[in-house]
Amino acid sequence: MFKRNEGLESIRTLVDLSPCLVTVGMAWVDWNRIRPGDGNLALKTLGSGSSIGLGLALALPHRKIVVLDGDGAVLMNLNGLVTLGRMRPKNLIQIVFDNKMYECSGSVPTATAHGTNLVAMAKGAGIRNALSVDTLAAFTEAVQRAFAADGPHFIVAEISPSSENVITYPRWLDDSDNRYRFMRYVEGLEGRKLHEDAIDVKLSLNS
Amino acid sequence: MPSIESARTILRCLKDAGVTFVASLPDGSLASLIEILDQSNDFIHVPLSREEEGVGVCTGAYFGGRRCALLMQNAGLLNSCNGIVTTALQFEIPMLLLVLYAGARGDMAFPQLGQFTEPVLSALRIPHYLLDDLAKAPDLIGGALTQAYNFKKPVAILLEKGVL
Repeated sequence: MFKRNEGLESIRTLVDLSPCLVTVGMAWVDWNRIRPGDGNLALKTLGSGSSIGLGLALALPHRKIVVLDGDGAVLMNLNGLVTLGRMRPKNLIQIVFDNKMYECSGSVPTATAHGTNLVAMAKGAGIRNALSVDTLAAFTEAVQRAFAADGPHFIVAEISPSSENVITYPRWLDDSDNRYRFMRYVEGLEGRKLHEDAIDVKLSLNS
Repeated sequence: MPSIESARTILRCLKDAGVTFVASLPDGSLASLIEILDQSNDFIHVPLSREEEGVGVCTGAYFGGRRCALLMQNAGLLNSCNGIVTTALQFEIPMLLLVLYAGARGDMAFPQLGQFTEPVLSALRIPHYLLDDLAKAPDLIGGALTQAYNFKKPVAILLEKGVL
């Protein structure tokens, strides 16, 4: 077993500039410390990572999209796995840090603490490249392979709970600001405009 | 049986409005629409297994520069409420919600859905328009999309079974 922040540190250079969709909670706290900046979107709907990741991966099929998720979040939206297994976007990498608890909600155990197997569920949903790792070396290697080969990739990292008892968010994040910054960041990577103002839409309808 | 012509008209309106990405979950009345959608090269089509994921899928596609629509029955709209509030409204994401209006005027099925659909949309502060005549489809779809981008939120079009 290893810690989430150790895992995230070890993949920092692999992820490089890839857009990251980060689940609400400790994954955000750790990742935003390790790779701060506009390339991270802090999700608000628990479990929405696989779904938002799928949409973005389909819209930008040439670019690796990273979802940093947790066990509680994945359990909230198992439908997301089903649709990933059906659509199979090659460029999506979903990393699930499984600490077997709702760490931000009082450390109450999740179903994975009682035998639910997320990898088996992902495979059952049709995601062939699904695996679980419980050492830092195996985790880094799995993420390396995910960046090198077509996906979708579903990597479950068996981690121990965070050492910190008090959850401190690095700064209060305005969601509207976060989403505009994120979109401008992706525009920068793509080298083209993605955000449309209402006036653009109106004009395109009149033409 | 839903009409192929109605389905073609609605898809043409979506295409004319620049929509290129549609996530869907079927209703019997939407079967033709989804069948043609799935065969079309004009759209990326994502068949869902629960409607709420569609709010996320459309949000992700929007971040990638796509104009998006989520096609579903009104039961699915109720399924999607948390995603609509904590993703689409929270992040100010424009998208079209194309909602088959079960329990609408003249429809004996799902009387509770018929009674709760519009009050729920109103409570969510989502503008909604009734498509009860296919001739209105171009104006409604184009207008609703413009409004979605102007208001920075989802806008719903309620599809009466009769128009399909």
